[in-house]
Amino acid sequence: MKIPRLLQAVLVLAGVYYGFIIVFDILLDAVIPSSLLAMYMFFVVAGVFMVFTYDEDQTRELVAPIKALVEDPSKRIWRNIVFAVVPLVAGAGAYMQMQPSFEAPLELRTIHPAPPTTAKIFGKRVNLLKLENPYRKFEKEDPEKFRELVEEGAIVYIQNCQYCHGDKLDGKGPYAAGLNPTPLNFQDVGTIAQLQESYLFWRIATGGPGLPKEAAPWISSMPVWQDFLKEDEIWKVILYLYDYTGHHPRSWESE
Amino acid sequence: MNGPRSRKTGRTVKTGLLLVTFGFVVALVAFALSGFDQLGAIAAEQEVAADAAAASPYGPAPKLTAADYPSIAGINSRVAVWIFAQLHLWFAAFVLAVPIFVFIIEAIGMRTRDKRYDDMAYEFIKVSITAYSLTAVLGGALLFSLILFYPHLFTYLSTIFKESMIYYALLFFAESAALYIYYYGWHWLQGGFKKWVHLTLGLVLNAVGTTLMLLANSWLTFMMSPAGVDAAGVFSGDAWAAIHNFLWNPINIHRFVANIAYGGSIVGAYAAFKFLTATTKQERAHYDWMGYNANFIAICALLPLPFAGYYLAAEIYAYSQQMGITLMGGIFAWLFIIQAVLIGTLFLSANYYLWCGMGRSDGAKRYTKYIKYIAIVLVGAFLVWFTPHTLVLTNEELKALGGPYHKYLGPLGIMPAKNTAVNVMIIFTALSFMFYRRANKIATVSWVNAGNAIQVALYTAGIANILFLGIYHGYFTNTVYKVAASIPQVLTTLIVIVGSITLDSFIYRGGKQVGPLHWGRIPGRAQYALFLLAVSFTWLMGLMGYIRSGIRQHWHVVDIMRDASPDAFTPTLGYAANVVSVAAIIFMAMVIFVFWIAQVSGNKTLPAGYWKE
Amino acid sequence: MDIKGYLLPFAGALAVFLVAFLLFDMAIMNMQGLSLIFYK
Repeated sequence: MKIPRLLQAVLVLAGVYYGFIIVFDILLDAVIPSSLLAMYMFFVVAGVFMVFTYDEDQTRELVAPIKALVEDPSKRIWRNIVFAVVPLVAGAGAYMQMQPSFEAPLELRTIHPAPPTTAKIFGKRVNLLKLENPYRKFEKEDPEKFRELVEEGAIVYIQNCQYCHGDKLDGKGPYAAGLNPTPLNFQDVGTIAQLQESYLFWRIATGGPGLPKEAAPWISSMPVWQDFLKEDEIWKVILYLYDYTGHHPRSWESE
Repeated sequence: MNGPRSRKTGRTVKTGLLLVTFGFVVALVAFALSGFDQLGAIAAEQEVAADAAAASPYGPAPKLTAADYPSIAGINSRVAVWIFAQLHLWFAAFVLAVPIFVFIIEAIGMRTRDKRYDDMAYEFIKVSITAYSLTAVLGGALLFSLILFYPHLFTYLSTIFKESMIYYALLFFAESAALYIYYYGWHWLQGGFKKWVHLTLGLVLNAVGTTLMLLANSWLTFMMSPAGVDAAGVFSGDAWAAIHNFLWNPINIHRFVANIAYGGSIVGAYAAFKFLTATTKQERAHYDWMGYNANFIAICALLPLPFAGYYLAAEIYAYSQQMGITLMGGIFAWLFIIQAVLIGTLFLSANYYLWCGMGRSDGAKRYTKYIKYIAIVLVGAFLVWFTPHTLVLTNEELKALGGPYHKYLGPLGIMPAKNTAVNVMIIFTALSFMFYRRANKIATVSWVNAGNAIQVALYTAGIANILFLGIYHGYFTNTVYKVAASIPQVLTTLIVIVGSITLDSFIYRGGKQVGPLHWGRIPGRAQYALFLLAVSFTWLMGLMGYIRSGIRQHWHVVDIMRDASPDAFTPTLGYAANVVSVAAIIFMAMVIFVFWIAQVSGNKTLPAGYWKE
Repeated sequence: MDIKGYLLPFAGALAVFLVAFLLFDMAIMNMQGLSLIFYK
């Protein structure tokens, strides 16, 4: 038996929708955000519409049941039912959407705000566009010394940072559950792998209070580390962050 | 003196003439540009001489206060300049692009001796004539509003770009003259030598138009990446250095390609408008054909566009991390999601138009069964393309995920995934086009099966290579390789497209036609795809243009001249999107006016008994 | 499925193209010419 085209289209859409939910929420155990799923489905609907309507005959087949429902005198009862049910469903949907809930409103927080050109760090005004890690050069010049520096960075990290950012640098330290926004996950390809070392230096040294205007509402609980660490300790811990995660800082030089 | 041989010689002479003119124009442009160099050198020498007597003739960039910005009739200065600049840019992009492909279409017509091409080229340029005067009017409005609302900025820029502004004004006259002779002389300059003169005129028109754009581009890129001035904004006197600043060429390339795509989409909307209002079968066939060609132009220019854009963004990042992050990771990141959605819309509607167009051929049934697979890949790649880096999460989802980063969707948010997705989208759009080409043909060569097998292998290997480059270099190497891997990706895409078209032309050599193409046999829905293309392009240019300008933030000229006006703040995304949308609606209304006026000249009323006999 | 007329040329061409693309990638990624664009 041939499935009517309108039903085919509906089945495809339902299949894709529940496919996303099954794959992400159940199989991968990482929920798909509803905002993203809505965007995805919008364009899946567009794609299905395109495939089902590019041909004149097939389009006629697709809309035939809808046309019949509206025009065919023998379908009067069905028509009345549909015309009563559709507005009710739409109304219920609108009601559910507008109903107040206890859910806090969404917040679009800029996780990586743009850095200023210069910043005051350790009492000096530094140019963040030109600032470089003084120890990075040892990676090639003196690998042994570089290893030592990374290990010193590791000690700094374990003594100060891992409580929040985690001993695996995945943002899941012992205190992480109590914080909102949650500490950054350095393993993620979207965090330190996208940034220059000067950016990390600026963020570590000036912490939450040093966030620029655009990073409202400034609720980060990152301490101002220039008050607790020495300059070289910050540079060493940056070495460690990249070394442990296997990421490379953004730079414009080939290896 | 008659016979094929002398005709051939005649044609060679004419080709030679065209080449010489072209060379002359190029030399002229090069000379004009190097002229700035020399002027700069002269100025520099004078400066050295003057230095002995007094200080530099150029002062530093002025340090302004809010009092330096006139408030006139309660008008919001930023919005006024913004809307005028945007409207001017849309029209300018359109009128610069149309002569480029009109020139090409005219040349195709001369080569094939198919008059339909000549008629189409004429109709295209006719649409752009009214748009040309609107461009000039809006350019004037922009200039006035800049001088009125931002007098100090304008003064500062004009001390640096005074020569190029003069040249700009002179070139504008040349542009007008060339355009009017080109348009009004179309029917006069027909046949033989006259036609060559006309084509040459088209070339001059394009050379002048492009030079105009390059000059205007240098002013705005100077504001983003100033050069030829010191840290205080004191001009060195070297005008060429100021023009040839860091972001000049990336913008030039991006705008040149985008203008062609944009122009194609606008004339496509014109053809769709005419198709839908056509009353006869011939008219429908004509405008269907015109719409097809316009869409073809738009797609051809659209395919390289993501790379030009990526090159520009990479250069902005390389110029300043601050601008780069503001652009794509900071406050403007959400506009980039809208951009991604709109670009995907462009690809989807262009493909939909091609698929609908397959109905013109009786042989298309053999290929339509593959369309759903193309659609699946296109939509899939598109979903990757617009997956945001920072997800909007409800608190419940945040808790379920244990943080703002998504293990599986997060990696789709960064550029290597986007580059891979867009290359796949481009290859599959090319595939749609290949099916369209094949729809009406039957191959007669003996090795057709093997040929098809090689085609499929080329596509498979190309896509495998794109995925390999995107995944390996995108996620397992450092930034330099991440960015660099986009180059072999693009080249792979180009190789696949060019290779498969070449192979196809061999397979279908001496092939048969299924039957005549039924121009005009296309559903009305397809015309709305053409409208969608034009509207998406317009909106996209407005939003991205705002970002390009907005990343300067509170600077008129980055790090040199601070914006002290009350409007120096960066507006909210919603506000900016509203301004751009209103401007886009005004533009669309003006474009409909242009379409209407283009056909009004053809209307005739015979007033019975009005005139004396 | 037509083995001789389709599958063989497909497999052969696929192998050739894959190797060619790989060599091409290596050439481009190591080429000095890259610095023409990414000169910083």
